Amino acid sequence: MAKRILIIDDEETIQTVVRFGIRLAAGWEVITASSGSTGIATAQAERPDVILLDVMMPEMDGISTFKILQSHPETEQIPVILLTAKAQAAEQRQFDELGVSGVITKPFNSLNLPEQITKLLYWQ
Amino acid sequence: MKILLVEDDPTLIKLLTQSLAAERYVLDIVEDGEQGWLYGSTFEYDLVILDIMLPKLNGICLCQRFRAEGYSFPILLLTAQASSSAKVQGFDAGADDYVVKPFDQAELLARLRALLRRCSASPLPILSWGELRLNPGTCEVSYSDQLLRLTTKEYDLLEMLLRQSHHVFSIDEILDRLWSSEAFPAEATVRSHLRRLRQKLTEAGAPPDLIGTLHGRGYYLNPPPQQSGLTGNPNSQAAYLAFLNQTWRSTKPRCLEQLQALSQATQGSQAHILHQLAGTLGIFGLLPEMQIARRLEDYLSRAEMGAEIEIEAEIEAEPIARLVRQLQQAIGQIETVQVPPASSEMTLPAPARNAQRA
Repeated sequence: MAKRILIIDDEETIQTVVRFGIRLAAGWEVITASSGSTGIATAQAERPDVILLDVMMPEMDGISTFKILQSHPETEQIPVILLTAKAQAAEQRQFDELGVSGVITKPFNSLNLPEQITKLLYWQ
Repeated sequence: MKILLVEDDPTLIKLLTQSLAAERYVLDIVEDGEQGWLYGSTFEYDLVILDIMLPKLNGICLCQRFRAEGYSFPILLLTAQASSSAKVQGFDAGADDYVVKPFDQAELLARLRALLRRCSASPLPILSWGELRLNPGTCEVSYSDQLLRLTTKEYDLLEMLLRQSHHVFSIDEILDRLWSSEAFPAEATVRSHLRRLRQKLTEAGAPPDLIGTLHGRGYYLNPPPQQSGLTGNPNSQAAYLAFLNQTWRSTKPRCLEQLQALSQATQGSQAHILHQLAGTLGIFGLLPEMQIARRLEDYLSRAEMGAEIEIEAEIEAEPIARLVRQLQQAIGQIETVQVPPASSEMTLPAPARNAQRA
């Protein structure tokens, strides 16, 4: 079944490439947001099947964004996968405790994302 | 995994040599601080263990020096000084962990594993890549649940590839990381270890190109084979690559502009610009350039944090300017890009997921 993915990343080239790659590989719909705050609003309005969330963003980082998503009843059930460069020690411990559904490290091949998401979320 | 031990107590050296060798670590040992600096700044190490009371240059000063010069390997201080102020001094000098003598060996080994884990791309105790599993705690390796019998060097090679799964390792780099600096193996030795490792992996059912060769560059892990048809279509790959190349043409001038404007950016935003740039380069599969950007990001975020250690302006400014030039040059030369390898994905430990679902 076609899925809807929300990607929250402040780098627009990454949004563009991920949207193209996911559509090409799996035909899923990809919606994008360039900051934590717009991402939260989009998630509330669009109710995607999964959120791919960049960890390091200016103003509101991925962790704060995730916590806010978890605190809203409309978005708390949406699985979140973090996108991160080689994670820092402190971050890694944090991920374990946060309760995100998975972590995908950058760089990635967007064509592989549907497969990786499917596996992480036990969709099959 | 290669460790530098800077310690002058012969009894402790003997003890640590035995227990670290049993855990398959490659060890270089030096007995004073000056030698420690020389080795640490010349060879590649995954971790450094420093005694505090050392001849010539003490462990705290050595630790500060490594950090001031931008060396980011984890440092564990080993010392008889149990006071809280000594520990604070150690951490402030840039150490990542602190163990008081006499210590429990099993605990020390567990701390080393934890430090190495925190610095690797994977935060989980077990490294995995498709069907491949490597458990650094037990040194067991399996493919599709079938246990592999590997020699120490084969194991080391595989662990190194798994810990930095996006890195292409040159033969020189492999020699530097996996052999102690006293050993001078021929390049052919590395190749034959790799050949046997590949053979054992293939026999266990892994694809023959799991460890890929990039001619003239080195060795890397190929993305695990896909189980479903979501990405298998070669037309998708070609279309994706064409899209990447097309996007790169408009992205490249923007990357160069960002670098050009870097020196005018406020100090607080420089590291973030480099972080974004690294992410952009990564998505185009430009991994060596991405690594330069990440190093720059690392330098700049240290500078932004004001660093507890006073960094001489000229020491700090020089490598940054040099790396920026290097990166500009590299990006300027890139006409076509490639599809990056698949990322490693991680499921988090079961309790975290259950908590989320509950």
